[in-house]
Amino acid sequence: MKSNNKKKGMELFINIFPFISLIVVFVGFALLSGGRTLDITNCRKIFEQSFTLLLVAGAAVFLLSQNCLDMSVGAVIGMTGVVAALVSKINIPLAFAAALGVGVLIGLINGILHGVLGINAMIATLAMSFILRGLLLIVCKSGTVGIAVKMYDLDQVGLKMAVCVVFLVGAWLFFQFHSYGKQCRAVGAGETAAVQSGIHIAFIKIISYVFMGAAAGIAGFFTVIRTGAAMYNTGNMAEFDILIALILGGMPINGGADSKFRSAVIGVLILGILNNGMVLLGLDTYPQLITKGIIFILVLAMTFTIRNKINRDKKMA
Amino acid sequence: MEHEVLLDIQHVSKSFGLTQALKDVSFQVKQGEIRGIIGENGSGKSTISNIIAGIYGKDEGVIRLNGKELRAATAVEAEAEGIALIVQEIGTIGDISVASNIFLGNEKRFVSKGFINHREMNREAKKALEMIGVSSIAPEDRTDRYNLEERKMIEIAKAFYTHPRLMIVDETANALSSHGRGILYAAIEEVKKYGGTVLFITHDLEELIKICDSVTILRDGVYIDTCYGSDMRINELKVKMVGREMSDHYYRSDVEGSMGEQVVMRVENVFTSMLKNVSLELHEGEILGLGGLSDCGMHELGRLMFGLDQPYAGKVTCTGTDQGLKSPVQAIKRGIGYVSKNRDTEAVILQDSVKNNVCLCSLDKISKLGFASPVQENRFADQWIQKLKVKVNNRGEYVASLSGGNKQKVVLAKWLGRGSRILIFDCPTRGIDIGVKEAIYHLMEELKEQGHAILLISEELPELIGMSDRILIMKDGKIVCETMRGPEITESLLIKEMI
Ligand SMILES: Nc1ncnc2c1ncn2[C@@H]1O[C@H](COP(=O)(O)OP(=O)(O)OP(=O)(O)O)[C@@H](O)[C@H]1O
Ligand SMILES: [Mg+2]
Repeated sequence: MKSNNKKKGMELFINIFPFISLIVVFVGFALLSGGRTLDITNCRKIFEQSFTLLLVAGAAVFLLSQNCLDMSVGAVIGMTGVVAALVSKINIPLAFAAALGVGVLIGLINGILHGVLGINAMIATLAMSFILRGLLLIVCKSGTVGIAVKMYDLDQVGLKMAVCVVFLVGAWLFFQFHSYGKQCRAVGAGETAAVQSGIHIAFIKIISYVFMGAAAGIAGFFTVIRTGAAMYNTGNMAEFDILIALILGGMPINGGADSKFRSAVIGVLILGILNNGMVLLGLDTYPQLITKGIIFILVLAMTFTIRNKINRDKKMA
Repeated sequence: MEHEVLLDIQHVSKSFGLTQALKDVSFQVKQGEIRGIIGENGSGKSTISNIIAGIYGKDEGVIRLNGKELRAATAVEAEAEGIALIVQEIGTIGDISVASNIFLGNEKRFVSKGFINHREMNREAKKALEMIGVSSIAPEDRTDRYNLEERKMIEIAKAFYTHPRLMIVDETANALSSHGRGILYAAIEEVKKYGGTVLFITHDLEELIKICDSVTILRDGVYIDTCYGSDMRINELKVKMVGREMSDHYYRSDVEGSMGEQVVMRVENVFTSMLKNVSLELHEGEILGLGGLSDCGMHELGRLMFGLDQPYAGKVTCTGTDQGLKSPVQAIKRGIGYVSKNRDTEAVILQDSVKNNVCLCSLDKISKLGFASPVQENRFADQWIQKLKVKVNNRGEYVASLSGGNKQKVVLAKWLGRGSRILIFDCPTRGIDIGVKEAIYHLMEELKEQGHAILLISEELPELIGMSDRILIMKDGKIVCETMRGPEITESLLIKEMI
C-alpha cells in the first residue's frame, strides 16, 4: 500500500515538475533582478527571443514522441534564412515560400533517409547538418547575406503573435486529437506493435520530418527578419535548445504515450526566462552555457530515474 | 520427510493502486508435491508467484520456506533460497547469448582473473540444456534468434539447472507445443523425484489433473479451496473458479463443417525460408484450423498472410485484387486482422493505455478527417472493454498492469472493434481462462455466422478439433494433411500426421 502511494506521488511530481520550474525561474529572476524581468518591454523581448524556438519545438514534439531526433534543425534554419534573404530582393512573399519550400525539401530527405532507408535518425540528420553548414559557408563567403530593406516591415510583434498562436494551436490539435499525433505516440511507445496495428511507420516519419523542416523554414524566415542578415552560423545549436526546452517542459526522453504537447510551450518559456534573466543579471556567455548545461543534465537525470522507477513495477507484471 | 511442509503462506495481501490483487491468502504446500494453482484471469496467480520469487513485495502476511521466514527482496535472493520462477511472459533477454541468460546474475562462477570465461559458461549452459533434453539450442547464439517456444525451453533449463527446492511454473505450457510440454512435464517430474516442490499455474484443467497432486483455487484474489488427488474433478473445479455453473461443452456443437462459396483469401505456391510450396484457400464463413509442431511453419504462414513477411516466390491475395499482399497497412485495408502469438512485444503496446490500444487500428473509423473526439474514443473503447469483459479499473490504465489473460482480451477487442472480415488468430486463447475462452469460442461462431473468415493457428488440438470447419496440418514447412470437420477426427489421428 505504502509503495503505491509513493508511486502515485512520483507520478504527480513528474507531471507538475515543469510548472514548478516555470514558477521558480519566473519568480526567482523577478526577485533577483528587482522586478526588472517583469517590465513590459522585457517581456516582449523574451517573446521575440523565444518565438522561433517555439515554432521548432512545437514541431519537434511530433518527432521526439516517436523517439526520433532531428540534429539538423539549426542548419536548416541557417539555410532557409540565407535563402529567404537572397530571394527577398526579388519578392518578399516569394522569399517566404522559398524558405518554406527548402525546409520541406530537406525534411523530406531526412524523412526518407531515416524512414525508408532505415539509417539511424541521429546520424542521418547530423550528416545533413554538416552538408548544410558546408553549403552555407560557400554561399556566405563574404560573411553575411543582408535582407531587402522592405522585409524589416514584417518585424512586428503582432504578426509574430498571430503566427505563433495559429501554429501552436494547430499543432496541438493535431498532436492531441488527430490520428497522426496518436500514431506518433504509439510508434514511440512500441514500434513493433504499432506496425502490426497498421501504422505506416515510414509515412509517419516522413511527414514528421517534413513538418519539422517546414517549421524550421518559417523559423529561418523570421530569424533573418530579426537579425537583418543571414550568416553561416545562423540558427546554430537550435537542435540542442529544442532538446533542452522539451526536457525542461516534461517530455519523456524516449517519447511514447506520456508525451504532451505542452512540454514545448512550457519548456521554451522556462528556457526563455532563464536566458533573459541570466543576461539581465550580467552573466557572461560562457557561464550561461555552463549553467544551461548543468540544469539540463540535472533535470534529465532526475526525470529519467523517476520515470524508470514508475515504470519498473509495470514492466515486471 | 515426504510430509513436511515446504511452503507456508500466511495471510498474504497485496494491492496495486485500486486493485487488490490478493486478499488474505493462506495455504501450505508439502515437500515433493506438485501443486496446481488455478483461477480466472486477474485472480492473482501471477501476483502470488511473483511475491514468492521476490519480484514483488507483499503488503501484509508471512511466507515461510521450510519453517524459516522468507525475506527475499529480489529474484536473485530468492534463487539463493532455492526458488526458481518460470514467468508467464518472455523471461529471457533477447540481445544477449543463451548462456548469459541461463547464468544471468550468476556470472561470478565463471570469472577468472577478472574476466568471464565464456567457453566454460557455454559448456555449462549446454549441460543445462541437455539436462532437460534440449539439444537444438546453441548456448553461444543470441537469444532473440529463437522463437517463443525455444526461449521458454531456455528458461526451463535455467530453472532446472539451479536444482530448486521450489519451482514455480506460471502459465508456460500453453505457449508450448506437445513436444515442449513433454520436456516441461519431465522437468517437473524430476523435481518431484528429488523431493522438490512445484507450483504449476495453468488454465488447462485436463493438463492440471494429469500432472498435479493437488490444486489450489483463487478467485478475485481470495483463496477458495484446495483439492487433493481424486477430489480434483473438472466440473467442480470450474464451479469453484468462476463461482457459477459452467456448461459442459464450450466448443461448437454442430457436427458437420460448413463454409461459404466465396474464397476470401488465397495463398498460392508460397516459398520462404520456412515454408515450402504452401497453398491454401480461406472461405467466407469458415474457421480454418492450422496445426502442427511449433517449428512446422504455421506461425510464419500467419505472418505472411498479414503482409509482415514477403515470400521468395508465390503469392498471397485477397478477393477483388490480383495484387500480392505487401504490408500490414495493406492487409488491414483489405480487412485482415492479426493476433500475434507474441503478445507483449507485437500485439499490444504495454506502455500505453487500454483505450489507446483498443482504438489504435480503428482510428480511421472513429474519426472524421482524422480527428476523433475524446468522447467518441471513450465510447468505442468502453464498448469493447465491456463486450470482452476486460478486467480493468479504468480505460486509461496501462496495458502493462493487466494480467496476462486481460492483455489478450485487449488484443481481441482491438481487431473485433475494427470489424476485420478476415481474422488470423495465432493462439488466440493463450493464457485465457475458461470463462473467457467460452466467450471467445462463442464469438468465433458468431463471427463465422456473419460471414467472417477465421484462420485459427493453434497448438491445442482439442481447440482445433472443436472449432474448425476444416483442419490443415503442417510439417516441416509443408501442408501434409487436410480434413473436414467430423466426429471421426481425433487428437491421435492429427498427432500421427504432425510427427
Ligand atoms: N504491476 C501491476 N500494476 C497494477 N496492477 C497489477 C499489476 N500486476 C497485476 N495487477 C492486477 O492485479 C490483478 C491480479 O493479476 P495477476 O497477474 O496476478 O492475475 P493472474 O491470475 O495471473 O491472471 P492471468 O490468468 O490473466 O495471468 C489483476 O487485476 C491485475 O490487473
Ligand atoms: Mg498471470
